[in-house]
Amino acid sequence: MFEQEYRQAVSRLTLPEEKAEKIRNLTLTKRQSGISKLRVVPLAAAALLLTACAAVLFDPAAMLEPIFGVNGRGSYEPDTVARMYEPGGGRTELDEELAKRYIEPCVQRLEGTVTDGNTTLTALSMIVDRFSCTAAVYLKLENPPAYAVYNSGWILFQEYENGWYIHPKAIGQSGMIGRCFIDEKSTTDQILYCTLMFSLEPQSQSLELRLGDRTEAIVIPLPEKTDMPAILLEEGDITLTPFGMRVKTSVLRQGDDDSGRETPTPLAKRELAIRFEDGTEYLILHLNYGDEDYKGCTYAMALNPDLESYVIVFNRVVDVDKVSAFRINDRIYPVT
Amino acid sequence: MLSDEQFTSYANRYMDTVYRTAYHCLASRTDAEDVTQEVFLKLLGERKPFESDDHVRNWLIRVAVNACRNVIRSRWWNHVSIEVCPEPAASERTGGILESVLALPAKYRVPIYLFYYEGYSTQEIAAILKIPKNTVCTRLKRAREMLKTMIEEESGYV
Repeated sequence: MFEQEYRQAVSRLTLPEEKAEKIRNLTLTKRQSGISKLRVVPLAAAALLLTACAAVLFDPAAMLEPIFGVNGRGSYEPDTVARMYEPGGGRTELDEELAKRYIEPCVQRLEGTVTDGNTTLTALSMIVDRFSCTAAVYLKLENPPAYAVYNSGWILFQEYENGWYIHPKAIGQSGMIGRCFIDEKSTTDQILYCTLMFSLEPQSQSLELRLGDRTEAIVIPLPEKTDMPAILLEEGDITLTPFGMRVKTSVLRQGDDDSGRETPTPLAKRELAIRFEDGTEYLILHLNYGDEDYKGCTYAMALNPDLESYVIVFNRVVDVDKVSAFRINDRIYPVT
Repeated sequence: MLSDEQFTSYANRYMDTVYRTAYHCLASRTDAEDVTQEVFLKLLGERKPFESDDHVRNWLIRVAVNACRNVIRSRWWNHVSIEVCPEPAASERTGGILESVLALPAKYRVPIYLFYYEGYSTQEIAAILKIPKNTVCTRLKRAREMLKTMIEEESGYV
């Protein structure tokens, strides 16, 4: 009885024709966008030269464009197989003056490379914000093995059965998720630049970067302190920096009528905003029972363990010297 | 690498299988559609030869499950594992027995689908999901118990 009824119900579950047609037509786009192996060797040599140049001309601002600037914007374009990734939230022009003042001093230069065949991953620079428990690492990937698909923040290469990832792992952390934004300004067909954002737990001591299932990893020690101004509200339950913020789930959930739920998601309707002294407001995030609008940020993640905090990377550099208050719905937390 | 004709043939035959697998895993039509496309993109780039149609079907299901795990992991608002994938939203509700199955935790849904709809044996499901056969049997047993309870409650027997 169950089996028959279930089988009938499942048989009615079919892929919408519009999607099915797109899949049937994938061959038309893929053949054009795959990277030609014939071009790998000379371009690899060029890539080495570029690496040498990059070593001399270290630009701490380069990694900020994919986080804050308009050049990190992406769009979901299923028909363009070579460049497919999620929208990176709302994008604004990078405020270079604020970036220079607050963020660039915290950009740490890195040196580390891992290879898989012709493919090379190099870690170029990193920002670690211990106050908001967020971090970002700027990467260069030379000669990807196939065309790339950027989906759900992962860079996935369609070469191997189980996918092929730049796989980040922060030691001491059980479930860190990276979210990747492509540096459109610098990326070419054979060299991909991107900024990978991720969340940190307080005890995270290092970051490992691997290519797919390779055992070799770039291991990056994470600095214990962040030289960045921070605003602490509610005895540290809300922490704001120019880069991002961390807010305790308990604070977010105040006023919920379902606070007894074991899983604190989806959050009830919530609007998070920063108010400035001139009366303007920066809307960071709008949560509405799972229907989220996070155009004001480029990365948002619930922190393990126990989902006790939410961390967010802003989509702009916030001038913390001019912040007057933080707002969650109608609740105002003034900066005194 | 598959020819265009082979790819189209496999797409026509198995895209609903992949979609149904993903839907059982994610309980979201939109996410399942995206995963289906992602899986067939992978098929298009796959270079290892397939031995048979069954090999392709198994491969597609396994890749779909892996892709679903990534989707679940990357849902920004939570760090849930596939074991605690959320229940379907109201807009996703299908009614009847399928809704009852989708109300189960994800770790039960996929074995149920593979066993009762696709007709895989527990041994084959174990190989596809890369979990021990005993675990598959336990999950099927537990799922049947939960479904029985749910159906009885809906019928007002409890």
